[in-house]
Amino acid sequence: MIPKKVKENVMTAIAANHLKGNKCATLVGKRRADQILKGELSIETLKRTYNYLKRAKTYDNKDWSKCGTISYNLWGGDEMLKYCKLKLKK
Amino acid sequence: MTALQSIIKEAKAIRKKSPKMEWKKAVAQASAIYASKHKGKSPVGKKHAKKKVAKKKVGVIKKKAVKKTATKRAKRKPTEKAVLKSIKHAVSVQKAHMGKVSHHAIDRIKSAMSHLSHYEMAVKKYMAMPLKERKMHSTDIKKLRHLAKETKTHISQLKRSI
Repeated sequence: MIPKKVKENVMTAIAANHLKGNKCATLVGKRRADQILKGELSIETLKRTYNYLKRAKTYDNKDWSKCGTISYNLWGGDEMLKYCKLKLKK
Repeated sequence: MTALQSIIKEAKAIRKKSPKMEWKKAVAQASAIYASKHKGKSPVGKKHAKKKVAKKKVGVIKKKAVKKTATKRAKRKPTEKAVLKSIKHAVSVQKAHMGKVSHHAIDRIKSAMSHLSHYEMAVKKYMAMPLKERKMHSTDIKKLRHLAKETKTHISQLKRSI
């Protein structure tokens, strides 16, 4: 089960991106957001999300008007990073 | 409450009514509702406006007068003399710059340019041939195109080095 906080992060990121005219994030990020909301995550995708979030943490500055924050949170944000770490350890 | 917060709140309420609805659609509906509430002004694709700082009353009139004169000056067309002067200045600057550049570098660029034109001419000749013959020389054409591309990048790098 994906944690609620992760889903909330994704939901707010989708709304913020809608406000910006859907110009932030790549197609991959948008697809990942859909997958997280539906709960369709394989181990492979978890690995990829973990790698992305680790790399993209610098883009996140908690300002929802910035594309970096939006794209980071479309992948689940900080909570998703913790969740991925735990799952991959198991 | 910001636009984002109110849209999320609205979208959550919409989703409670119909839980099977996708989040994206709910957000779109919520933003439409938000726009209707705010006199049809959609928040989508708008940049945040900067806060204006109140100006002091003292000295405002003087500033306005200065601005008016500045705009009048800007609207005036430059005279022929001024244009000629600016062109002469540009030419002299260019000459001064070219004097600093070593002849060796210029020769290198010139030779690369001649090579490039040679390759391009050869490709053009091949392309003028009928299809059957062109297919026979397809490898040559590919090589020439590759060479032309490489020389172009070489020229650009040389220019940058100057």
